[in-house]
Amino acid sequence: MVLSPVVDETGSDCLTFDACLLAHGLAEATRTGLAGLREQPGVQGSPPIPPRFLRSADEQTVLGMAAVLRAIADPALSGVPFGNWGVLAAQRFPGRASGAASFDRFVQGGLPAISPHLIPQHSLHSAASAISIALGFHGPHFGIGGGVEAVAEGLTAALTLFRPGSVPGLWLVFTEWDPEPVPGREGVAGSESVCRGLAMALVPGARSAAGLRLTVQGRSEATDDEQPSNWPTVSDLVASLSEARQAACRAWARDLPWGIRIEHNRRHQRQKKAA
Amino acid sequence: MTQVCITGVGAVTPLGHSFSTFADNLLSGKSGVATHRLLGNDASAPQIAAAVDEIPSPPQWDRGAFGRLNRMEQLALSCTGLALDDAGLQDRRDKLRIGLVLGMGGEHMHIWELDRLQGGNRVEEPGRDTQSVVYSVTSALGLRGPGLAVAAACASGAIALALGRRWVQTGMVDVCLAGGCDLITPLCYAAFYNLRALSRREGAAESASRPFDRDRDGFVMGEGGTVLALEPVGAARRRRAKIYGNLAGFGAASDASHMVIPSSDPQHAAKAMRMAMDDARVTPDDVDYVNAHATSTTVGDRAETAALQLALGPAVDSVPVSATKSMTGHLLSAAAAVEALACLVALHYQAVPPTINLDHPDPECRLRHVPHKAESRPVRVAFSNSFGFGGANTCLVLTKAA
Repeated sequence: MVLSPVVDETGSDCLTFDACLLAHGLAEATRTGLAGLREQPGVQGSPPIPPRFLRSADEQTVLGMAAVLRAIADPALSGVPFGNWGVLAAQRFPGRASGAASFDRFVQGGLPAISPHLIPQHSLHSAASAISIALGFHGPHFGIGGGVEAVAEGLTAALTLFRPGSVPGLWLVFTEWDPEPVPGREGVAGSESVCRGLAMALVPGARSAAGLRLTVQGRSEATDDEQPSNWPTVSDLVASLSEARQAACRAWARDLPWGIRIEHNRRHQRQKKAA
Repeated sequence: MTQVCITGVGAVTPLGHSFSTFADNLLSGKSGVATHRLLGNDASAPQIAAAVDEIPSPPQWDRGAFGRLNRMEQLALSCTGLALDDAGLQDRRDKLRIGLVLGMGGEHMHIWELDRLQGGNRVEEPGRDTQSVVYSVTSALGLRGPGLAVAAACASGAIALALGRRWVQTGMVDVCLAGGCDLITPLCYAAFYNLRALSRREGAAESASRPFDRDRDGFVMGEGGTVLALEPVGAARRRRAKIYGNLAGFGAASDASHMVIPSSDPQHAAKAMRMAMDDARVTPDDVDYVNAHATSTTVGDRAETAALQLALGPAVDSVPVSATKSMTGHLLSAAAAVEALACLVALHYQAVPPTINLDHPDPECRLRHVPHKAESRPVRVAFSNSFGFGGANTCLVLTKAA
C-alpha cells in the first residue's frame, strides 16, 4: 500500500494510504440456500477446494469463501499468482447461531455436549484461516472486528498494515448477516435474513490508480467525534461497487471517527479499465 | 523508518498485574497454574488453569462503575488504562492521537456466554450489540485515534502489536496502545477439552504445563491480557519517558495446511522468523533469547523446534530458548502480547526466563533449553514466536533500548 503525505484542498496536511482494487466477488444466500453453497461454494472458473472442506464451517466462512472464489473467476485475475497473498476477513458477529446453540447444549449436557469444532470453525479468525488453507495463500491472515464497526475496521487495517513489498497483495473479505438474525427464530415469517460475503483483491496501488483510499486528516482535524449514527456495512460497499461502471465521480466516501475518511474511487477504476 | 519503542505496560496476568511483579514471578520460575472450578454447576473434577481472580480497575476509575462492566470489558479497559497510565500519558490524551489495537478472538461469544450464565439472553437480542469492546474502551478513555480488534487465534496479540507499530511508524497515530486480552469461560474450556488440546495430567496442577518435555500432553488454559504503549523513539526521548525496549521487527506467514494442527513442513513458520529478523536488521547470531510459542502439545512443540532449527541455522545450538507458557499457561488471544512482555523482562533484567517442568526434554525438541531456573546473561535482541490455529505464524523481535 502506498503511503503519501499530501496537503488536501483545505490546506491541512493529511496522510493517505492507497490500494488498487483488481477485482471483487460477491455471494449471498439465505439460510435455506446455504447448504448448497457449503457443498459447492465456487462457480465456473473458480479453483477447486478440498471436498467437504466447509462441512463444519460457520455460515459466514462459507459466504466469505464463496465470494473469494467468485472474485478469482474474474478474468481480471487470470494468471495472478496468489501463493503469497494475505487474507483479512472482517466479519459482523460470526458464530451467533452456533454460540446460542452451544449455550443450550452446555446447560443441558455439560462439557461433553460441546463440539470441538466451536473454536477452530466459529471464531473471528476462522474465515481467514479457512480461505488461506483451502486456496493455499501463505501470506499473513487474520480476522478483524467482529462487531458493528467491522467494515470500517477491515478497511482501516487492510489499507494501513502492510509495508510496500511485504506482501504482493491481499484478500479483504467482508461478511455479515442482513439483518442480523435472531437464533432460534429461523423459519418464522418475516425472519428471513441474507448472509452476504464480499471479497476484494487488493494490491499496492499508486495514487493515480487507487481503487480505495484511506485519508488520515491533519492533527487539527482530529476531534472528539460522536459515534457515527450508522457504521458502513457490507451492503454499502456492495452498492458502491455495483455502480462502479457508471458516472465519473467518487462512488463512496465515509468519514469515520478518529479523523479518517475512506473512499472508493470509481473514476480510477474506469481509467484502469480503459487502459 | 521510524523506530518504535515501548513506554508503558498494562498487564493483568496469572503472574501478576504489574511489570515488576510479573518479572519477579517469571524469573523466579513461579507457576500461575492452579485448580479451579470453571464449569459452573458441573460437579465433576476441578479444572487446571492459570486464572486471574480479580481484574484491577484502571487508575482514577470509579470502582463501582468498573464493577458493573462485563468481565471482557473490565479486562480490556484495565490493561489499556494501566498501559496509558504507566506511559505517563493520562494527562496528554487530548493533545495526542492515541490508537488502540487489541487481539481478541471471542469478544462477542464471551459476552453472550457470560450474559447467558447470569440468566440473560443477549445472544438472541442483536439490537443490544451496538458497540464493540474496543470502541467502548477508546470512548471510556477518551482516546482520539483509531481502534480495532484483530483475531489470529494464538497469534492475535502479535498482529495487534505489528499493526500498532505500523500506525506509529507511518505517523497515523502519535501513540498506539496494542496487545491482547482473553478469558477462560466454561464453553471455551469445554471446546478445547473436547478437541483434546488440553492437558489431562493428574497430579499437581503446577506440573501440567510442560513445554518441550517428553511427558507433555497438552496445554493449560490461561487468561488475562497485556497492552503495551508504542511510540516513536524520538518522541519518547524528548519527553523523557521510560523505555522498556524497542519493537524492532515483525514477520508473518501462513502454513495453509490445517485448521488446528501446525504443518509438519517448517518452512512457513521459519519464514515468519526470518522476516522478523530481516525487519529488525538482525541475524540469527545476534539473537540472545527466543521466547517459544511452545504450548506443551506433542505436535506443536516438535513443529516449532523444526522451524527454529531452519530459521536459526547453526545458531540454534547456542541461542537460549524458553517457553513461558510453562508458568503462565496459554492465554490464547493474549498469549503473544504476554510473551512480548516476557521478552521485555529479559531485556530489562538481562536474564532469560526458564521453562519450568522441563524434567526430560523430548529428544525431538533439540534446542538450547533453559530448564527450571532463569539464566543471567546479556540480552540485547529477543524474539517471540506465536503460531495460531489455522496456521497463522508470527514472530516479533524486541531489542534493548539504547
